[in-house]
Amino acid sequence: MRSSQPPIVATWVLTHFGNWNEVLAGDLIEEYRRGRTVAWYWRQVLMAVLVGCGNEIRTQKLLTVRAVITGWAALILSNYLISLPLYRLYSRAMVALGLDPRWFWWLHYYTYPRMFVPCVGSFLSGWLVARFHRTYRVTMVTVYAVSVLLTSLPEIFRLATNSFSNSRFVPYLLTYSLTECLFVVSILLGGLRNTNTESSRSLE
Amino acid sequence: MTKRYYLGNSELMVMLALLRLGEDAYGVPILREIEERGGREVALGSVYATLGRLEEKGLVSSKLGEPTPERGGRAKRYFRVTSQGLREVCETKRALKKLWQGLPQLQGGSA
Repeated sequence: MRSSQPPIVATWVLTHFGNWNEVLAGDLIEEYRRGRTVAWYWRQVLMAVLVGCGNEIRTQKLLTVRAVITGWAALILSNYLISLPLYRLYSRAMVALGLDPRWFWWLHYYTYPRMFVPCVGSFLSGWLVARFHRTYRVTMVTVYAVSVLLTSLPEIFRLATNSFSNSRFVPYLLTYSLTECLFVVSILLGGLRNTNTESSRSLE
Repeated sequence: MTKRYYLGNSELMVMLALLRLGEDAYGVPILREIEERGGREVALGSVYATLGRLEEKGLVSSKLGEPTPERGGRAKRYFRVTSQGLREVCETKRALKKLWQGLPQLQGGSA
């Protein structure tokens, strides 16, 4: 039997990423309770998010470009100021403990935390983009995160192609993909935390 | 010749749905009206995007209703066509009618 409650994750996505969020969510819940399917609900949510972001990008082209530039500048800067010193500190700590972080670092449990180091910078860059683009922060942070994701696609594609011919590349592919995902998620977390308080602007 | 604004396809559909629904025009009935009469599935997000655009142009106005339990405690937003909006609909109809007239391909309803 189908639950009268619509998919929680979909509603969360809509209220955090969409425009007209609360009103639209109410409409979708009403329709869902009248018998629409889960697939219909998800389709409507994803379309609402896409249409909302698309509209804002179309009407705020300059702001979108500025958001992407701001994000990348913050990312590069944080790489030099935060990530690299943290890497060095981490490597020194590993050496002091008698461990060698350079040796197949993706295969050793004690070197996994290295994957989280760049996330500090990406979290901050996401936060900064949101800070400078408060009115359209959901769209601007999302566009910036997508731009970061797009730059990693060629390498993911290369590793995926290599993995087909040689299974030796599979761990590289998994580690790289996981790191990139963490990277993008931390941008979104930095930029979109507490979104609910501001994203209800369409109700005002 | 002065350049003037005509309603697009989706805008016209939304405006006509609003005019049909009258006082009860909010997201769900608008969606149903377009789906039933237009014969195609539409995204509610697109409907709201169109409504937002029309509201910015002053062709529709909106007001927030009371939150209701069947909507998970969320309020409805009611829309209505303004007098300027009504003028635009008539103007668009007139323009489309002119374009429609005298087309041999569309005579007899076979097209």
